[in-house]
Amino acid sequence: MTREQFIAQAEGVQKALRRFLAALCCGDVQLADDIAQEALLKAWLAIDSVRDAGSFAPWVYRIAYNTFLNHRRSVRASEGYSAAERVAGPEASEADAAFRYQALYAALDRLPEKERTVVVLHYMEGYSAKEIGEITDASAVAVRQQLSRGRSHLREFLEHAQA
Amino acid sequence: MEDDDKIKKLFDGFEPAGGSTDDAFMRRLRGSLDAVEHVRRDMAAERRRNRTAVVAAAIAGFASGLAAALLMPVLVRVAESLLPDSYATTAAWMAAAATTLTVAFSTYDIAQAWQRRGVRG
Repeated sequence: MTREQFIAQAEGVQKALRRFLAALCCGDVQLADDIAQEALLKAWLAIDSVRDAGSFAPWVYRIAYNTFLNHRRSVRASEGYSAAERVAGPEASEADAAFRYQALYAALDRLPEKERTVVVLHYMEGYSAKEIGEITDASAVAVRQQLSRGRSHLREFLEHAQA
Repeated sequence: MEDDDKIKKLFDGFEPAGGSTDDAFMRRLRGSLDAVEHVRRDMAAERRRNRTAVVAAAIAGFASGLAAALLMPVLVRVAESLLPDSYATTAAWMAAAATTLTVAFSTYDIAQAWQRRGVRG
């Protein structure tokens, strides 16, 4: 793949990738963008391992997911719910948008990282269990179990939020 | 199923605000790719310089060693005039070896410096 082909592929996948990472990072969009940049750079450095253009997006998601995990390991303490609270910026329109998603961020923040990833990939990006397994290096059975646990946790949260 | 719909609704139209624009993101990525290419070119040039310097050092070392071997009778006579006879031959060979090594290392350094003279900046 040439550099221009890679840039075209990256351009096609970057919006969804950043959205996925923003959800994983519970609303910290600056961090999500940084991780997305790092993931795409790693993808370029390992571009020879891409079999075909069709497998580019899942492959980049996999790199992004691993980069996110590496970043989490290097951070000493989880910022947790405070990340969702910090999302509200000085601009009124940004604050409105952040508030709209605050319930989502709070819900996602309660999930373990694997469940959060699986839930986001399934409900936001529409990936199947098999495709998610290729991204997270897990079997389809394990993905379905994590999805089921993630749904159950989210359900508890939604019931609690409504109470 | 209803719970599934509730969860799906959480993600409906999710478009996080506050990050960079798509254009800014791609500009930043292109800048990073440019930096990678720059480093790769520098590393390839460094490898070429090293290879050239090693070849030059090997040729110079070989030539120096060959000259020392051909001149060994002269070197031994010089050593005999300075040292006891039992040490003269050994001293002559050691001097030849040290000279060859010095020529090889110096050639490597000179070749590296010569190649870098246009690279600085």
